[in-house]
Amino acid sequence: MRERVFSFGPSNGIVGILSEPDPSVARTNAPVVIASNVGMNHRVGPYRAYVELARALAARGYPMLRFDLSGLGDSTPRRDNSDAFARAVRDVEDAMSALSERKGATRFVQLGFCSGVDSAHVVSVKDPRVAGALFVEGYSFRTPRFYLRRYLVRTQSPRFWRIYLRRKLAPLLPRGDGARVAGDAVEIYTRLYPDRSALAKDYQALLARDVRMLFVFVGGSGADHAHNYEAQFYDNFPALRRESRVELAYYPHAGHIFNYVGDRAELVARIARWLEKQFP
Amino acid sequence: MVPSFFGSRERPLFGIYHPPAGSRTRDVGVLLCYPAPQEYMRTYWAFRKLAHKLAQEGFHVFRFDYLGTGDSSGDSAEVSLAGFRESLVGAARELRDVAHVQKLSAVGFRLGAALAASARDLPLHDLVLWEPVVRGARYVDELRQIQASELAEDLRPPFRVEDAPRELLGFPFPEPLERELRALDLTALPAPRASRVAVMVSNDAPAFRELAQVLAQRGLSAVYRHVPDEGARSEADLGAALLASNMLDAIVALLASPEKPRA
Repeated sequence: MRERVFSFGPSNGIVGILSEPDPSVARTNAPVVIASNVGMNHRVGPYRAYVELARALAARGYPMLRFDLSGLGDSTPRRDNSDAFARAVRDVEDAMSALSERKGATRFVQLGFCSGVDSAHVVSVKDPRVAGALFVEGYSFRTPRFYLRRYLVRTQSPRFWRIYLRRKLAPLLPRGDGARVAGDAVEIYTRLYPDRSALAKDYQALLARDVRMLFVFVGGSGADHAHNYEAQFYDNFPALRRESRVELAYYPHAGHIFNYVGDRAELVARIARWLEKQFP
Repeated sequence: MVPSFFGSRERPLFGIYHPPAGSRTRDVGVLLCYPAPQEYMRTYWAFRKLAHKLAQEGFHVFRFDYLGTGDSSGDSAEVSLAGFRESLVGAARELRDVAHVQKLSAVGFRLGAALAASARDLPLHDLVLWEPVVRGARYVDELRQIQASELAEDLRPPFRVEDAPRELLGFPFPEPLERELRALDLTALPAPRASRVAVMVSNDAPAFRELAQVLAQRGLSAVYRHVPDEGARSEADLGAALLASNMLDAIVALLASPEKPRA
């Protein structure tokens, strides 16, 4: 496995790291997996997840580029008047073009994680070079069954109420020396979701191009996570339920950014298995 | 700004060199030493800003990832203080080669400060200990306490604090590393090999003042600077990204200052 700095874009100001497989394990015409920042994290990903993933994939014959979007991490900002989302889309497109020109790559897998799903989704739909899409903790819609499960958790889980009361009472209690009050770590992510029917059309458009997709969701660490049962995705998009080119992975106990070591290891292994199955 | 891999082919490290960018060039290189993995992500932006400001002042600057962290080679489960110190020495060698300087200074934040202060193989011109980890045992206990708080907030935690898991706040925490950290006490170490040492903090905690006094008693030209910054804390803080704009300016001003500090 070899890693090298891979800079591209205006004045080569976008900084990335390309992990390439050893020639003895490299797969012919393997798609290059492309990942960029998750929130304010730089290209290594939350808890170094992208580094671990890139090395695991390279060991299996798949190259991966992790890079900082313009203006984030170590990448210089673009000098144009476009908004952050438009810049992100151009950054990803430039990444693919640079990999095509310099490495002869012809197809790509977009990895979008949390807010990164926004640009990964748009690029996947519009760019025919995208052969696969990995959406981790992406768009999720609540269903009646979701609300029922949330109600059940709240009414039947003593632990839920202990946590809830502790948070409510914490500001009123005296703090001992060195005592630490856990912050309000409620996972609230405000994003502009596409309309569900528009998404359904996008997914069909991707399938029409034979794009392979893996959707990954977690149950989250609290009671208010956006996803709380495995079939929730298919309940929202029933047309995808029996589609072999679409896979779903659900980790009921994992946190939104896979903050436990074991959960991240499972995610990495799952992505590797998906690639091996869909892009042998 | 020049990102690159350096060091051995088998275990390459990742670093970014910032050449002087202002109207003058100083013949001093500055190493920026990151904190522990648990605090690394929130520090990244501040370090980039600090590197930029120092380069504007004419310094050659190098920030780098320790073995097993960031973009450097090595598994996250293999980290150790010994490995971090070797990375620091390797980074110093790389900065001297790339920048053609002999004189090196270092700015270390939290555990990075402790590493720079305890690097006996690294003579330094200036050493800035920014919010240093003074006693590793207390630091480990702080991190474990944060973990306990987070587990208490988790509706379905994967393990209990009592299980003493070998992971800490999202990262593997091997036993050798914990032993090394618990043995770390900057007040008991030989004096750092630096011409000038500054303990720079945003929280005026007793441990920091004690460290500055110990360093001065060992005959070092040591200074203590309290630089209030909004939202700063003395103990480990894994919340929002570190901004520390006042501190960054204070560090640059100190390194750029030719005057001998008053004790």
